[in-house]
Amino acid sequence: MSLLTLQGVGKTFGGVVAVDNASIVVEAGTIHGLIGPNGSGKSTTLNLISGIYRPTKGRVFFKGQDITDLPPHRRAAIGLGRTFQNIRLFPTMTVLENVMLGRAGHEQASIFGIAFGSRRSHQEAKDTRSRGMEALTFLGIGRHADSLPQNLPYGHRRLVEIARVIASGADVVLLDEPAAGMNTGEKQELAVTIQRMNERYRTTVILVEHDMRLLMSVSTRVSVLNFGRLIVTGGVAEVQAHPEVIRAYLGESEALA
Amino acid sequence: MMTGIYAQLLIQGLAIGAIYGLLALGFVLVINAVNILNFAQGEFLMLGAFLGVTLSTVAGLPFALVMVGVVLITGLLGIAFDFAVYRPMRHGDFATHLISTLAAAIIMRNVAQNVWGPEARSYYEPFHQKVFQLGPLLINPQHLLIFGVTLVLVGLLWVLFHRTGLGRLMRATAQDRATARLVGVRVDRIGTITFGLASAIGGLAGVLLAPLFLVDLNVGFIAALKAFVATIIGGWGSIPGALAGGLLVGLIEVFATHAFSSDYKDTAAFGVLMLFLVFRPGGMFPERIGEKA
Amino acid sequence: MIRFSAFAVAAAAIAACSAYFNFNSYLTSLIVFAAVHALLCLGFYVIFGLTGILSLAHAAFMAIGAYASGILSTRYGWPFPAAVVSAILIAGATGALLGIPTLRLKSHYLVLVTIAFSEVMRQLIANVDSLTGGVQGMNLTWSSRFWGIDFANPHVYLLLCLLILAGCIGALLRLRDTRIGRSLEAIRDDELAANVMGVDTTYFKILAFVVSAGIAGLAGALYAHFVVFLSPEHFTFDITILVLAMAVTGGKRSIAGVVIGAIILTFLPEVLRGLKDWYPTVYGLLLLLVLWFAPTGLVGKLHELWSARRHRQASPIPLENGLTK
Repeated sequence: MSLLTLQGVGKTFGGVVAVDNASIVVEAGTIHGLIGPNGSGKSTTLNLISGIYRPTKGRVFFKGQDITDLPPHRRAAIGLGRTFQNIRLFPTMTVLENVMLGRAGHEQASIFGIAFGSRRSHQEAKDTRSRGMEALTFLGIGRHADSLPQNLPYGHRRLVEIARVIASGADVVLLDEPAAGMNTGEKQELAVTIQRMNERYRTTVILVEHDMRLLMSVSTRVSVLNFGRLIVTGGVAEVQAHPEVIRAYLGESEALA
Repeated sequence: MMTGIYAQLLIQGLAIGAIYGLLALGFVLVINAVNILNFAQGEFLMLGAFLGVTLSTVAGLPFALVMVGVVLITGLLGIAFDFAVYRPMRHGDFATHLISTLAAAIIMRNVAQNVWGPEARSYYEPFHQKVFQLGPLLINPQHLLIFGVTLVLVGLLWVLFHRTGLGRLMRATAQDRATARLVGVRVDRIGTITFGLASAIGGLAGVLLAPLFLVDLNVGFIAALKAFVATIIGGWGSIPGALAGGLLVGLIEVFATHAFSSDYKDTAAFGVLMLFLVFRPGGMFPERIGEKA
Repeated sequence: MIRFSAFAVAAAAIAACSAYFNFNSYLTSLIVFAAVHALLCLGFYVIFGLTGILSLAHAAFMAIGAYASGILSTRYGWPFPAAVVSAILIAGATGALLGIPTLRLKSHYLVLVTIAFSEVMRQLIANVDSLTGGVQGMNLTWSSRFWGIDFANPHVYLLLCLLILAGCIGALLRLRDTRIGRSLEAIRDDELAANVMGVDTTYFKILAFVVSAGIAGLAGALYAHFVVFLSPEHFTFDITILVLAMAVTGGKRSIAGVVIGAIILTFLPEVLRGLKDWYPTVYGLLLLLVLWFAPTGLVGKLHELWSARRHRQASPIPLENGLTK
């Protein structure tokens, strides 16, 4: 069942066509990889799904609803979460506070409720805190809850970002180059983490990655972009054998092996 | 004579506009070189004006020497400013720079108050109140002097930036400070020179302004705000834009004073600013300084 | 509740001392001014410390609060509590007036617009002299007897101000630890990420402007009924600079910081009596020194030193842009 659909989506910046007529269907429960050479429009596509960019053409559907005109914070509220390539954690807050912010779009208590200490606001605050701790514990970094992000090693900071989206309860999580800056061992752990997250929380994952091996090993379906155009969407083996994909990666053919 | 009035106002507006333009020029130079908003820029104008008074009335120097003297003194002050205010906070964020330049402005104004006293100063008259008659127009030679000096200064700056090695280094630093440093440009020294230049221009603007109006200690603050407006209208970081913006602000102010009362002249300038920011934040000329994405 | 009670007790203690030892009117007014300054700083804390928006229009909101309360009391005979509450609401609404059109402006532009806004407001107040008394100023008359207490009594007024201050501190302490506070801090730290995480940045930024302006308006109203004479000259940009200096000296990111900064810089002139003419230079230099050696403010610096000692590890490395906890 399609959870997220991009229908003929295009994005042009000035004269540059970053994404051209992309139609992608992401099924619920899958880990959907998005690959392509540099400049193929992967990041732009992710930003279009998040709502950071508005498409110049086409529509975006999420859970059957047209979200094309929905601003980013509203998309978070309906279950769309993401991480960033350059890890955007809030530097002056503790790890747990960062993770708790993942629930920002979901909490219902009004400003007045919070200000005057309504029962609902207390309950929600407790709920958010426990969700945050649970996410941190699930990823094995619970002991860092009260540390500042800058005091954590890079790999753990990445995990905090992932904990943030888990705590938010997002149904679809966009991972933007999560393995950037990691060594092989860390990447393997990351692959396992993504799969565990997918299994345990039934999170649909859209994964943009440069590391072909990592992406192909965790993805169930893959979409390939080149020059902003979608070449193919399909299973891993099908995509790897696709002639146009091979041509696009000519010179990097060993990465596909 | 309708045209007479408007031509008169036009000249007045352009003259005061040239002052704002010079001040804005100083801002833009500093913005381009070190990417900070120097709130003390207006105080260099104020100091230029007051120093001009002293040099001319107390020391009895002829006007040309007064200008030279003021330029030198305010230029040196600008260099001192770089060492005392900018360099220690080099790695701070926007707010830190802003607050430190504000603090410097407070100090400058207070020192001036203690040195010269709080009353407004009536200024010397370099041309001894002679005015020329040209058709229906009364031309104040001070206005002509302002235009002349501004043109000469702009010309000299152009030569500096486009025909000298130093100017090339300054432009390189403005366009990409990090890379300039990597290729060996002494960016700190360029910064110092830029501060000196900007403050000297501010001081010069003050000397030129003073004969037209009574100068008080607040003249720097108000003029600075209008120069800010000019900088924004002209397009952040653009030198011709700053000058054009200054002229525009001067014209708006003079015509607004004529149309409404002088109570609202500042409001008019700020009103234009807000309109620009709402409708055309890029200013009249395209924005040159890139922000971090 | 606990925190408020603690402050309330402290406030009552100070007020009791002032009555018992019969502080002279000068000392009493100094304490009242300290409270007013502290309130202004708290308002500034909300917009700048919490949300990271450098808005230098604070003097304008104080002025609006002062004049609103003053005019309602003097010309329309409104009772004191009603006038003050209205002042808060009017100032808050003006905050929205500034905040809404400026949401998308970058920091350079925003700060200039807020300064311009402040000057325009001040000049408007000066020009609408039929209502405000213009540059000549305005005398306040108000019915100070309420619930059998004479609020014009300096000791009573002092208690009132301190209680209100205590209430504000308590409220902000609580706010900071809730989703509201965290959302504002998230906007300060990384607005894009905050947006993507679900924080409605538009709503919260406007909220910050409104709350900040409202608190400044409250400070203005309390000031107005104490000095009973208002003039536009009282609300120049210098006030905003003073608030900025207080907040930065104490530590703009913490409630304790801004309050302590307010107290220090209110009493400092008394300590430096002999240097009266040079006072602005002194606090200009003080600001520069603080920025140079303790950019997180005195309280921030103490906190850093204390953390370092306590955790026996390298103190948090200050990030390039001056951020630390």
